[in-house]
Amino acid sequence: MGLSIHLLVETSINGLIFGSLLALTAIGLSLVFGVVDVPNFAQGEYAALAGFATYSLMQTGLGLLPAAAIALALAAVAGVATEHLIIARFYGRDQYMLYSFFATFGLAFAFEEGVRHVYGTSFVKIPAPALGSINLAGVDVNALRVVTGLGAFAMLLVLYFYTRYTHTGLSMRAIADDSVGARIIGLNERRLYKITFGVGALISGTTGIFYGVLFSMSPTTGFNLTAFAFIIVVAGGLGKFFGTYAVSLLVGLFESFTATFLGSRYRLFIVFLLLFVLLAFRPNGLFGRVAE
Amino acid sequence: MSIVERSPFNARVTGIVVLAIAAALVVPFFVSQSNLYLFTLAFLYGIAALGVIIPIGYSGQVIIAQGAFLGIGAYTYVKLSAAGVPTWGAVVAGTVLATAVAWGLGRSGIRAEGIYLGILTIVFNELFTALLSLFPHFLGGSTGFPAPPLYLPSFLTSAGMRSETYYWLAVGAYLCALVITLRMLSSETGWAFLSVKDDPLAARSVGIDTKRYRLRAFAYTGALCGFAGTIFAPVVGYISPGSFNLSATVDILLAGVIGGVMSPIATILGSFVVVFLPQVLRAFSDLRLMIYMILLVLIFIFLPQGISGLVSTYLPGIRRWLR
Repeated sequence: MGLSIHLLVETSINGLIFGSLLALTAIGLSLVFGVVDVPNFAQGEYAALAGFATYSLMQTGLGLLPAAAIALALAAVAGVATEHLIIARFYGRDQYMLYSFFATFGLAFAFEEGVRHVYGTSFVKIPAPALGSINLAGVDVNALRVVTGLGAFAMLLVLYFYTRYTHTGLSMRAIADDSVGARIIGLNERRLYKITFGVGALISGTTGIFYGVLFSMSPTTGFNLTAFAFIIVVAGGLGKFFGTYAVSLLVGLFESFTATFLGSRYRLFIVFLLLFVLLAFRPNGLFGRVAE
Repeated sequence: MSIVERSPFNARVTGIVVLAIAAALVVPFFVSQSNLYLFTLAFLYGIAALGVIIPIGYSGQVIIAQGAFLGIGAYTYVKLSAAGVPTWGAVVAGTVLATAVAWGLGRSGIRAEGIYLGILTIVFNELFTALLSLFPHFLGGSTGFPAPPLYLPSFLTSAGMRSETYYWLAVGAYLCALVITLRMLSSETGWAFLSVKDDPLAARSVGIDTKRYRLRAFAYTGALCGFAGTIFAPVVGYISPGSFNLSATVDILLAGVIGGVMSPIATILGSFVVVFLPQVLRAFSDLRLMIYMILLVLIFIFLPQGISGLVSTYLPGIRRWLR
């Protein structure tokens, strides 16, 4: 077949769209990690929750949009519940980060098992309207994919403006920057932690719905999204909004090219290998400072 | 604060230790073969769990690759002994190789901070299992290999005492590892670990080579887990990537954390929890793993210092009595 331009463009477009989806989970993770200091291993599970909930709600006869709205609300509630029931018990404890990592790890696997119990190991896809195709750079692309990619980008913009121009969003950034200072000027940390978890879960939940529309979901979808999100956040650095987005697109492109040209069984392996090499030489991330 | 929670050795403590060891040694005469296998596994996990609390509890390094080190030991054992190397030589080689790999990983690992070290080591663990599946001919792929049995004196094998001997071997190995760990922790190295964890800058200013001690913690973790892995292979009789992946690593970590990260002796308690709890939950069939994970989250919430913390908080009488 050879290396046709057509295939290259198609692979690139798929990679960019997949990268935009990953960016949503990664930004959610970055937000929670930056503000609450929790390396939340369950971040991808909020996506899985929203995706599977949308699917189940549509099975009962609901339309795509109302089902998605309810599913997103569920994801946000799950995020707040994670903070309230588990993480809040760890504040002020020795090795807080380690315990919250383990606890969210346990939560993630418990949820994955729950999904396996309810949906089995078969793949589940959210039924979505066919939108025809759009001609992009001489290649016919499924319009649904383009809409999804743009939707993901729009969500990112909304979050960007939320953290830049609303009082709550600015308060979150203040806590991430200097939690003692934020407390001194009277910000209610505990409340903001809850909101951060809710917003983080909501934004990651969006990934799940987009993912479920484009691809098919299995019980391990949540874990895979978490793995990608950690890779992106570690490589791209914390709190760098568009840095994270750029790294997400890169990872998406990389993933897409590996899957197309090397075969899908190398997908995670190649990405992990790259991350390992990166961390071996830059142990604190691409933009992190190198310790003595 | 005392670095290792220990009471002065008096007659009472010595008596309890002797009794506990004696009780552990007679276990094979009272339990079924399948339970004896689980007891053996628990002691092997105990050795690996010592390789959890050294970095996490003492030197403050979040190393999350214990399963991979265990796997390096196990695969080296199987490949070498299948190639005709004497099995005890393969045990030594597996331990040495795991130590060397851990040391190599530590070369970059000591420069990573906090969660970045965690991610680096998790990725190492994932790469290790991925490599196993990518080379099916040499490394057995996802199906794995049968493991040759350890060489044992013929009077034991002819008496049909193989699994009993494996058990005693695991108990003996665990006790050796525990004593070596306790001695190391109460020596200069133990204090250096703590100072590296609490305040690296202050440690450096009093002349402690923080890099060297961080590297030492890496190598020690690799040695303990690698050694446990070389015994693990013949005990289980079969090795595959599933025994060394991220969930295996998490099981080992949990054994250390549930016991209490500052209490070497409690590693055996944590190991018994992670080995036997899933068995107890078997009645729940496919919801087993889910309940297991939820129980673990509850343990984290309600037992901040693990089982050893529970003992010292709620049962001060025990400690007074031991004194």
